[in-house]
Amino acid sequence: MAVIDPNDNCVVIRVVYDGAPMAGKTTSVAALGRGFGSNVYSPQDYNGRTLYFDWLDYTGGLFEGRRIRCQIVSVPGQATLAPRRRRLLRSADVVVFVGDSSRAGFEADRHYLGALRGVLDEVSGPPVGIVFQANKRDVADATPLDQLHSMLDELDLRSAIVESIATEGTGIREAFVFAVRLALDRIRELMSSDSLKTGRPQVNNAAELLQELRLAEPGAQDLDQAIASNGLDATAVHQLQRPSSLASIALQEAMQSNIDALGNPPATAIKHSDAEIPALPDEKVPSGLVWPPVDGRTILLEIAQATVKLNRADDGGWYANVNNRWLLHSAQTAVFADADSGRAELVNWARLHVANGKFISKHRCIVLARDGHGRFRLWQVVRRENSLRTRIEVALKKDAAAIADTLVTAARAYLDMAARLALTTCALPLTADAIAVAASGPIYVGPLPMPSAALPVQSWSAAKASDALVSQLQFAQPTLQAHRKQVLAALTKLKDSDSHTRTEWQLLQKLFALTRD
Amino acid sequence: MATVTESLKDLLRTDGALCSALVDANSGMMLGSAGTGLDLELAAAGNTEVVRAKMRTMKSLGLGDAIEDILITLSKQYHIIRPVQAKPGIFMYLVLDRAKANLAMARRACADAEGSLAF
Repeated sequence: MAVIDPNDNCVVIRVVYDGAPMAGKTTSVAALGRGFGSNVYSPQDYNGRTLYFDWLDYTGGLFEGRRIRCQIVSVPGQATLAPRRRRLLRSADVVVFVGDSSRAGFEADRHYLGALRGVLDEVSGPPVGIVFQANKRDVADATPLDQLHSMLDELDLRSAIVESIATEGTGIREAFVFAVRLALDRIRELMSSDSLKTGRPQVNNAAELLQELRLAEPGAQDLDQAIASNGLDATAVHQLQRPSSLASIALQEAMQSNIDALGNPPATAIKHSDAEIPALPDEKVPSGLVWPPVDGRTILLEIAQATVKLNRADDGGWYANVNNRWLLHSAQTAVFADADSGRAELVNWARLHVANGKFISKHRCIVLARDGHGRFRLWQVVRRENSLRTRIEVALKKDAAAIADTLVTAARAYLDMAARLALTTCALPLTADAIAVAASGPIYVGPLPMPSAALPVQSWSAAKASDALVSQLQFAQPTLQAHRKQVLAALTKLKDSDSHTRTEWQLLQKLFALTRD
Repeated sequence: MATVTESLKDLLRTDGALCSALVDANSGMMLGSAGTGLDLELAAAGNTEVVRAKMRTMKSLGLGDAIEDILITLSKQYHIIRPVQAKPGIFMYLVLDRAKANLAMARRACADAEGSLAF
């Protein structure tokens, strides 16, 4: 809902605080308000639980010469108010998801985050950034950060994590300022596509937001009264029988919420003593130097929060394995004397990513950052995925059936990828550790070459691809030979039970050969 | 290592210090503040433009150098802006009463506060 308001010469953004009930949304917004010296307005609450929203209006900072006016809104968390929550989330320019770090709150966080993703997927335009404010970090059984990261990965959400204790005000401001930064990245994208409107905001104050919500929800006041009096059982039965009535929708969502809850389960910058070691990129790089703008900055925040050990590659580049989740890489030639030339290469590199978007993994970013020695360096960050090689390594520790099944699946994916690589715009290596299987088929999960180093597309014949795969599976040969009889039997069974193309059949023959001395 | 709040409060112990802030240069918003005597919100946002203007000028002059601090002398106050080297995009801002402050000590205090920041 971002808009440039010419009357006040400010850019108006909406920061929405989301989260499960009692996670600390209202407390966080209240802490922000105290810090700003502003009052928080809550149209209605019941026993401390928000029924509509909490509203805080804050103007500060500067963006392209204009003040930044933040409409800070927290949503009601109760399941019965899900439609109201969704409506508010759809208006967000950025979301701060307040997560309950206690063990009891973890599953609720997962459920609400899943719902949040569903809502934000429907929002058009540049992606809406999410800051995960891990609240209640002072509880004894606070969920470890790596578990929170894993949860976000499982939900396919790229989100930065900022720790907080809302009751003390700790971390609240940091989360908010980072959220504003993400919102500004989105606004820059809107500006560059001429999509940012100028005019009075559609909702200019809390009263107008309340009115907007009430107009959008026929029967809202009845529902409020029902919740407040704890008398939802007083709702007329015929209202529940009409699927489109608010009461019916709320009841369905409350039921689903219960079912789901039961069933579902930055660079710490190196203080370098070696003059050669470059400084690491972090989430505070200026806008325009990270791609994709919102998700990329989120990835960089995670890198910045980790302890990173940079290694020198044989080719003179730099790389690091960050928390076993990310590969950080910079080529030897990725250094530039000034930001302009670096940025030109960054833009070309971003174009290369977009052109090959169908064939490469999503969780990656590229960034131009100061190297700490007066120059600029291009980095790429790629999330480590469960590659074909990793799958085979895991399967080798299991039984013959699992080994055979994995080999055949990997072989198919590998041949498929060989065919797909012919459609890319630059040569990408066909290696088992750089290919993973996604829902849409095999994808390339390795680093992309910089445009200046990109080579023409290489075409792989089926025979050549088969030979390449077999040569890469030499590491598996000792295990395959040790369990030759069982693996052969399992492979034969698969061969007979499944139909295979001629190419697959030839590759299977070569896999059989791997089991021999 | 000190938190944002601790660092900013420590800075206020400097002779003549009136107020201090830690500012995100990208949005001009404050990550923290301490003291009174100035509309720090406005000053933080405005000083973001000062830092950006200086960096643009340095770039057009071809100076491949880093800003240690920017000192602005008013008739009654000193304003010190110090980019945090370990966290690009963040700067410290300290306002001092000129009659009571020792500029060298104040610059030193800023450098120490920058070095001890943990966030």
